[in-house]
Amino acid sequence: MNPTEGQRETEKVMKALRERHVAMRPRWYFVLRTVLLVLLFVVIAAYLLFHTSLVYHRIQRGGGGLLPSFGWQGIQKIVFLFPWILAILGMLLIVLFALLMSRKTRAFRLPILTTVLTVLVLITGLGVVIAMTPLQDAVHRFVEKNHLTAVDQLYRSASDEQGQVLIGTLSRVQPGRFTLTTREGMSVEVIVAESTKCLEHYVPKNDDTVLVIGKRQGNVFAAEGVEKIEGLFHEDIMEEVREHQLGLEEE
Amino acid sequence: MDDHAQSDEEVVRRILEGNTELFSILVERYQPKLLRYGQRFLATKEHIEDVVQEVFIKVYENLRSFNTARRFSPWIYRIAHNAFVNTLRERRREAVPFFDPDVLFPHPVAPDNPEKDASKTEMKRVLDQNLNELPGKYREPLVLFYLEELSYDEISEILRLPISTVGVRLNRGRSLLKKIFDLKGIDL
Repeated sequence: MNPTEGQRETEKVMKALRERHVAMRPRWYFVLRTVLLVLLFVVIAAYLLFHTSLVYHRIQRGGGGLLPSFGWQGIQKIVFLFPWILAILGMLLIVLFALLMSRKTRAFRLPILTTVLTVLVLITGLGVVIAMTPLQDAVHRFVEKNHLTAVDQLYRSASDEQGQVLIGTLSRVQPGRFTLTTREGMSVEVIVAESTKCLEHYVPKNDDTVLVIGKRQGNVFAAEGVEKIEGLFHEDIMEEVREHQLGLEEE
Repeated sequence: MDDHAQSDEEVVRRILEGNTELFSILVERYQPKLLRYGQRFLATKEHIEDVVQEVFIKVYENLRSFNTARRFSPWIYRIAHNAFVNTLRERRREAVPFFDPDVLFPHPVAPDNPEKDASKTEMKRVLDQNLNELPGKYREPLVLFYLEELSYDEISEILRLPISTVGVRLNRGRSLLKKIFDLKGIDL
C-alpha cells in the first residue's frame, strides 16, 4: 500500500467513524459487564456447591458410609441406591462451568482438561465439606415443614423408596423380629432370620439405632444384614425420629 | 514528541484523555497489517476492507476497556481475529470448529526459539506464497508468528489458546509446509 493510498484508506475509516457517529463506550459499561460476569460465576459456583453437597448428603443419609461394612452385598446396595442422575447432572454442569471459565477468563492459557479437573476437584471437595455442615439438614427440614413435595423428592433417600436399606430406631424387639421406625416416621416390621448377618455379633435392643439391608416382602422387611449405628449419625437419627413423633402428637 | 513516534499504548492513553483525532495514527499503523492478516481468511479485497473497517469501529467503541499497561497489538489482532472468524462462519466458506481437541491436553513443547531466527526470513518468503494450501488452524499461527512477527505469548492472547498449543500448531504447520514443498519438489 503506497503512502497516498494508505492516507486515503485511513481517511475512509475516520469518515466512517464520523458518519456513523461512533462513540466510545463509557468505562462504567465495562465495569458493569465484568461485575455481572463475576456475579454469574459466583451464582453458578454456589449452585454447583449446593448440588454437590446434596449428592453427598443423599449418600450419607442412605447409609452410604456404613454399607461397605457388609462387604460385596453392601457395595451392590451402594451401586443400586447411588443418586446417579443427580451425580451425573452435577458432573455435566461442572464441566460446562469449567468450559465457560476457559472461554471467558484467562484460564484459556491452560489446557481445558486441566481447568476441568481443577474445577471438578475444588467443587467436589468443597461440596463434601459443606455437606458435613448442618446446611443440608436445615434445608431438608425446611422443605419437609413447608411440604415442598417436588424438592422433597431430591432429599428423600432412595433407600426408603427402593426398600433395600432401612435406617431408624428399634422398638418391640422380639426373637426373630423387631419394629423399626424410620426418620420419616414410618414403622416397618423387620424379620431377622438365621442367615441375617448381624455385624460385630450385634444383638438388637429397644431404642438402638440401626441400618438394615434386605428386601421388602409385602408388609414386612426380610433383613439380610443389621449394623448398629453409633456416634453423631445415631444422634441425628434419634433427633429426627423424635421430631416426627412430636409432629404426629401435635396433629 | 512527534505523535507518530509514540508507542501504541501512549497514543491510546492520549486518545482516552480526549485527543480522539489521534485514532488516525492507530488506523495508519494497523490497517495494512490487518488487511494482510485478512487475506488469510477471505478472498475478496472489498470484503477484507469492509471487515477491517468494522474492526476499527469496534476498537474505537471498546477503547476504554483496553488496559494501557498491556500491549495494544495482541488486543487489536484479537478483535480482528474474531471479526474474520465470524465473517467466515456467516459465509460458510470454511468450517470453523467450535471445539478444538488440540486445547484439551497439555503439550510439552518448548516456547519461542530465538536460535532459529536465521531461517525465519526464508520461512516468511515461502509462507507468503504457499499459505493458502494449509488448513486454517495452522495457517493463522504461522501468519502471526512469521509475517506479523508476534511472540508465542501474544499469539496465545489473540487466538485464546494455551501457549503449548500455539507451539504444537506452529510445529505441525511447519511440517505440513515441508510436506507440500517435498511434493512440489521445492527445496526449503
